[in-house]
Amino acid sequence: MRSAFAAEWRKLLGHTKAVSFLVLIYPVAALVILLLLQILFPVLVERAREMMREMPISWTNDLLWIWNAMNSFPGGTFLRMPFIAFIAIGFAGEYQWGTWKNIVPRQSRARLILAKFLVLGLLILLSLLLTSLVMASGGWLRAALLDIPFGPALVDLDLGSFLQGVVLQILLTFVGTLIVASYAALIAMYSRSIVATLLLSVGVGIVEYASSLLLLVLGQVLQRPNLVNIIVVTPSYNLDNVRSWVVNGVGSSFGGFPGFTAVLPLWLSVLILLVWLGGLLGGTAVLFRRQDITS
Amino acid sequence: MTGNYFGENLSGLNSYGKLLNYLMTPLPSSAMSQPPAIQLDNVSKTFGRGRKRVEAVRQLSLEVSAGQVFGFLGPNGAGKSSTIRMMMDLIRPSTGTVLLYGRPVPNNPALLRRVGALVEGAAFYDFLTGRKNLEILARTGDCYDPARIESLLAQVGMADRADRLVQGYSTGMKQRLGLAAALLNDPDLVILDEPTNGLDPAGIQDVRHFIRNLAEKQGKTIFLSSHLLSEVEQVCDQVAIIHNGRLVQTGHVAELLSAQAIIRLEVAPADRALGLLQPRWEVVANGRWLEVQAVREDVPEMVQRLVAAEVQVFQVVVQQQSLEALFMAATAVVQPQPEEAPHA
Repeated sequence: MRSAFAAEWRKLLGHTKAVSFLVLIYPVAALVILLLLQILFPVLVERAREMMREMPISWTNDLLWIWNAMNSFPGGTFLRMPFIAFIAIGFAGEYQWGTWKNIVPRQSRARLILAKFLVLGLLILLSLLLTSLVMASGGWLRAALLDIPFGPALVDLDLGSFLQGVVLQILLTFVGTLIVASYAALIAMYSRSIVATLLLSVGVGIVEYASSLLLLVLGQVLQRPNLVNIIVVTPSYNLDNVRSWVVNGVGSSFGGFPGFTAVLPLWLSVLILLVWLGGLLGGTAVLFRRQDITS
Repeated sequence: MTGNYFGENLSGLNSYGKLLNYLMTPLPSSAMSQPPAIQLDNVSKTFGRGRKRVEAVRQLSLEVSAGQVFGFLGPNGAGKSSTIRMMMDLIRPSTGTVLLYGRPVPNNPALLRRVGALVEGAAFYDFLTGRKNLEILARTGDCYDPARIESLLAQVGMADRADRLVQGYSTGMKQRLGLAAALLNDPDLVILDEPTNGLDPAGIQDVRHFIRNLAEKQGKTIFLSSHLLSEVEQVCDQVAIIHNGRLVQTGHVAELLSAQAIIRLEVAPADRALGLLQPRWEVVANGRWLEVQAVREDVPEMVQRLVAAEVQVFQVVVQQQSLEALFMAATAVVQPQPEEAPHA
């Protein structure tokens, strides 16, 4: 397994264009935005400096911002799109380049697919971790330049519960990434094309989001507003719900969506996510194990 | 190309020589009980369903002993690549079993690590260098050894181009890298599917020498699929010809070719000689020359018959059939007539 993982890691990192434009885009974009909007702009413009001084800086919020955004609904659906493209390259690329035939005979297929999931998931997590650090460092730099307080102080912070929150958010993002990677992998196995996998995987995300609107309309038409509650079975809602429980201590009300009442308890959302994850990962592994690798 | 494997001159070896060597070499006692390197038992493979159903391989049975260079011949679409894919567990047979060294192939990566393959043209990650590609393949196969990668790159004549991105490689360069990739794990069995595709004549000759070297110096079993008959004739000990998914002929190259010899006799009188030989062999007369389809071992009997009937025999020439003729006969099909060019 270690060798399959090492090979996959080197291979994906070797695709510098994909890594640069689809994975490192987040920390780079965060850095550019920070430098331009939060540092350069206030340094050069007095009015902006005044505005910034009035905005409190919290490194805990800065650190968690990207994780919150990734796990929220519908924001996460759209923020994950560059990662979907990267996952599409990772899975469908092997078919399109005709390279499965080189590696499939020498490793167990289950290990190959697992290594791919892990490496893709870890690279995405690393990108988000970098983004998170860039944002926190940006806050610190802004505070130093503008001479404003940078809090909270460590003594005022319940470090244990903060770290627990961070770990849970990271874990949640990892689960969300693996779920997205699983359906991208399934689509890649059938389409064997990077572009088709990308379009269809993004399509699945949009359909998932659009289904809530569709259910809302349908509920109104059929005069059954509760119909929208069906959305609680989707991975996106449950990611948002777990995030909401972790961050706010209450379940997600789906942004106050009309007719939505079924706020799931934390344990049920975790269970639903695990079922999705197990089903999709298992399905991918079984399908790949039985698949003919033809050119 | 100097300083690599390819430089050795083995062209003096002909098929008879190889056959003789093969027959004269005593088998080690352990080899007597060794399972064949490849064993296919009634293997069939069907793709698609309903009207799209294609039977690519039909009840194919085949055995390849360890240490041989085995040629696998067939026209395009005969089922060669499907058979190789089944040997490499890339696709599963619809029926029948594929055994390598006596063990079933499916879900057996440990067994397949004894096998190196170049299947249907070399394919690599074109965003990586040649060397990086080999490193990744070696790591996937649990056989990463930088020194071996260097050595293989040198052997296939790619050492000076290994640090260039594969996207800039020619087909021939990719094929050479593919050969190196097939040998990364120092395999006992090497399966090569059209290894000379895209190579220039010098490259083709290099690969021929390379293959013979692998078998003779390193004791590897080579399974060579090709439609280049001269290539197979020059390097293989045994061949199998497959057509429309079925095995149509198999055997030692030398035996198959001698079985198809043409004996040319210069005789007088030709008509009397024709009458004497025709009941037993297929004979075509051409002036004083008779062309008899027979085996080399029939020559003494022929001459004896003619001399006994007071026919004068001036010359006897045994003309070996080419593998091409054998192949054409074995895979003879009615070729569709080319469409007439439209009138201008």
